[in-house]
Amino acid sequence: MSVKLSQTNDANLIQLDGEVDIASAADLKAALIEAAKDKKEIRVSAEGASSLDVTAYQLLWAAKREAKRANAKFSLPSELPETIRRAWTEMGLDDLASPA
Amino acid sequence: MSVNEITETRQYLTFKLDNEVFALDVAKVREVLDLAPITVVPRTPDFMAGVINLRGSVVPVVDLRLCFEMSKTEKTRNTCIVVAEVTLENESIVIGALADSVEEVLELEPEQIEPAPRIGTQIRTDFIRGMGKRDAQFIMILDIDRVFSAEELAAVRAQESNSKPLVEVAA
Amino acid sequence: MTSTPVSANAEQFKNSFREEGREILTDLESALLELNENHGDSDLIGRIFRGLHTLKGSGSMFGFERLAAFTHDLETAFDMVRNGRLEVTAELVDQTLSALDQISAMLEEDTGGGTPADEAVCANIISNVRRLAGIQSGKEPAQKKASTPTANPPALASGKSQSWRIYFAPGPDLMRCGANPALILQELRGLGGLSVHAEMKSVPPLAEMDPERCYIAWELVLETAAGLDAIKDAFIFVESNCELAIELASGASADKAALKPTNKVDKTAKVLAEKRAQPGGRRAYDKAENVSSLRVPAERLDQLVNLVGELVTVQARLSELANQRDDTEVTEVAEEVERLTGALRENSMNIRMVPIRGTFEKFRRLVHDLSRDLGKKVELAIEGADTELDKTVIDQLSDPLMHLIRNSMDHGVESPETRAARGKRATAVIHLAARYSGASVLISVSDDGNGIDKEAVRAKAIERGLATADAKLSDSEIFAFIFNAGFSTAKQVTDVSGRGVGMDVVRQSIEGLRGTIEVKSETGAGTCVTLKLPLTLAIIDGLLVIVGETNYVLPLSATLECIELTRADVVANNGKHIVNVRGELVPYVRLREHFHVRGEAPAIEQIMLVETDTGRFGLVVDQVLGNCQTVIKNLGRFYRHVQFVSGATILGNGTVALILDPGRLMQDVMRYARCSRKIRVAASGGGSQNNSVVSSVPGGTNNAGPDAGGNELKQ
Repeated sequence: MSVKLSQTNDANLIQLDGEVDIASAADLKAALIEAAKDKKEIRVSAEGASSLDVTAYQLLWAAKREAKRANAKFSLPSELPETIRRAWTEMGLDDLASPA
Repeated sequence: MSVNEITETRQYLTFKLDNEVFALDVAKVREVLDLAPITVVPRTPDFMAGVINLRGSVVPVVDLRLCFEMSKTEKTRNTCIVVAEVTLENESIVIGALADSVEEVLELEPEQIEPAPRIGTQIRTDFIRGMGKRDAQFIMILDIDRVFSAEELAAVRAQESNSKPLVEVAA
Repeated sequence: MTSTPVSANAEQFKNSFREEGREILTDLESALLELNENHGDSDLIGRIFRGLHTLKGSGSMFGFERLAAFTHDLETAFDMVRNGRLEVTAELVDQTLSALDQISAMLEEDTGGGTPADEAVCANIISNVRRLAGIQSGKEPAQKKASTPTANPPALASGKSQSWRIYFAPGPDLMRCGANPALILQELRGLGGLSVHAEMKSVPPLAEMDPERCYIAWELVLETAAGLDAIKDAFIFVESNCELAIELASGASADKAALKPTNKVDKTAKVLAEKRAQPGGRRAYDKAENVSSLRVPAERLDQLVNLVGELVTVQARLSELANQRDDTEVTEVAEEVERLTGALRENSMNIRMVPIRGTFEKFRRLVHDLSRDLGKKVELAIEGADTELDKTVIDQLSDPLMHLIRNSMDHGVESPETRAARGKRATAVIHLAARYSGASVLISVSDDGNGIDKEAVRAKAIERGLATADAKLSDSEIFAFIFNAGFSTAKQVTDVSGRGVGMDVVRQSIEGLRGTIEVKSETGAGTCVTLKLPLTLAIIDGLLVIVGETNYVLPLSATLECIELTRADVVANNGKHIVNVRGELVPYVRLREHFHVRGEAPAIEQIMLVETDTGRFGLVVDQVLGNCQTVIKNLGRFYRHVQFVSGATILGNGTVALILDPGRLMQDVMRYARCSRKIRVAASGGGSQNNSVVSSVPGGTNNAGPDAGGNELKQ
């Protein structure tokens, strides 16, 4: 499990790998806050993630909500691994990848 | 532990009982106290000098001279209590030992320590880990665990055959 | 809050699971034994199933995979029992009990305690349970079953499907405890059709979030034929750590739309909506409801008690100094500190008090197993299980009680045939009872068996040289022999007892707890052993006295009154150490003499009258200094053989005072007298020298010498 923050000219990238759960929740939170600082687009890539648990989900959800309020772009790529997508659906959680 | 097992340079605390110099591995010594009031526990053998208050803990004190067939310790200005950590049957306990005076901390190389002589000392040889040499003087390095486990046994026996001191009273 | 890696907490979780596991095992054991009496009790069956279920679930959650896997089949079996598909049999109960032992071993495996679980035994139990329950051995493990829920919904008691509305809001620590809402939802899916709505309203702004807490709540509708219990089971690990409402929904089915309270408002939804609408509703939960009890490691309590002990010592010193100062302001402060210290002491002692129930309940198993092994029928009756004692005392009671029960079962209780022949009920009863008596607790183990064979004990005592052949012995003297080391009258050594190791161990342990033992026995009717134990070991109320230069503390509970002893009194009594207390003649012991104190006694000494199990007697001391509350310190192993000193305490001035045990002191005095007399008789052939020490000693011996005088101790 790892959380990596990097920058391009137009966006802040957060790359999630492996199991992203309570153990990495604090890192993810810090990364999201850091990424939101300059109001650039936040792009989260989770292709390498094997699971994103509820702690990860609610952080992403809150970050997306804040980005929306700040009129910044927040995106999860649509190619979210199927296991994660299904787990979210089973828990009644919205698909964050869909533009909303 | 015998002399053969002493393979590294160690520090020893030396102290006097009567006119002989003894030493303890400093690793076994917790602290040295000035003589404090000792509460005698009645009806116990004389070598069990009593108990003291060591910062809130009750610690037994032993008169080492009586353990080594010397006369009872006379309390003087130099009398100290050497507080040692002793291992008895895998249990670590803290015991104070009366010493006539405490001298110094001495470093001894393994080569400076010889095995205890079989004869010629008044102390049981199994109580002695080795003989260190300082100038021309011999220092008896005590195996404090052995000394106290033997004394503990003696204490138990004295209690079990409580008739011992009574012979003096009644006979 | 910083991130704490799971691995750092893993050991902590494991430990808390171990504690929980031990409790569950104890409960399971007593439930199983009760079930054995009443095979149809559905409450018990439910309790057992939930216990096993928790063990399995929490076990796998905290890394006890082996334990979880092993428990799985048992759980399945009891699930079948619960659903009426399997009968409770004695064999099933027995197998499950044996399984508990293995589970217990698995639980303790990493702690280095106990014997490890035995693979062969485990395998055997599993195959037996599978055979009993008709489970095929190749069946998929539980985990798989849960993840493919639709494939194999568990068979259910009634075919009728109902719709349940569930509101589930994780508490603040739920995730940190290793629970995962996803798994709970998965488990619910295993019960039937589930519609899920996640409620995100409580998710705070990112910056304010505790990343390890789940802020999402769920509103669920579950379509299932399973009962409320089965639904609750899914939440079993998180019950104490979440807000949970489960209600039967009206109407046969519910769709996702029904979940939104805005669409269709039914009662539950309304309640739930109100809950959510309350400002800070979740927060109120955080603070108030979840702090009903707290699990604290015992060492921390010990530390607390030690600190309070030191505080009591320092406070005593403060009071002493304040008295010397004669400064009212200082005195006031000192008094206030004294009051607070007293309250603190009381409070911290109370924290350590735990009911003896757990210890008592444990013996149901012992009685059950021993009955089977010995071919006897025995019932265990428990009384006063809520009686509370200091945890230290309770911890050390288990072994002695076990010995006593074993002894009763082996020696006391007769075989069913013998009992029948004697007109007794075939099933014997062992009664385990606890009750308060002043500052003590009385714990008794009684049976309705054969009683102690006094003649056999007596003969054995004579054979071992503990008594002379012509000695007249009271019942209590005879019974006292059975507590001697190596004393057993059993003609046949059995596995259970009879090696004569038990009873002296009992005596030692109880005496180590500053307790006493009383035995009553009637031939043919049974035996009752009563243990009298102090409520707490840490602090006693005492009376401070001085003899020579040494301070002693007598337990206040043992002291009666104080009488002056002048030189003239001694002379008037003609050297006999007896005092007349309102017509009663009471022997006394001069501690100066008994303790060999040098120097002159004061002109007026004090006789402190004390009450012991062997009667009243006086202890002559130089001076009585007054009451004191003392923290008992152990004298340590060097002095453990000095039995009449039960401990030491540190006085206000920093010196050590010794705490005397009057009962033991009396025994010591008597033993001393006996030895002196023997020696003297041997030395002088009857002896005419009337040694003052000897004549001062109250007798109480059977081979009294000619000079024993008229000072026998009345017993």
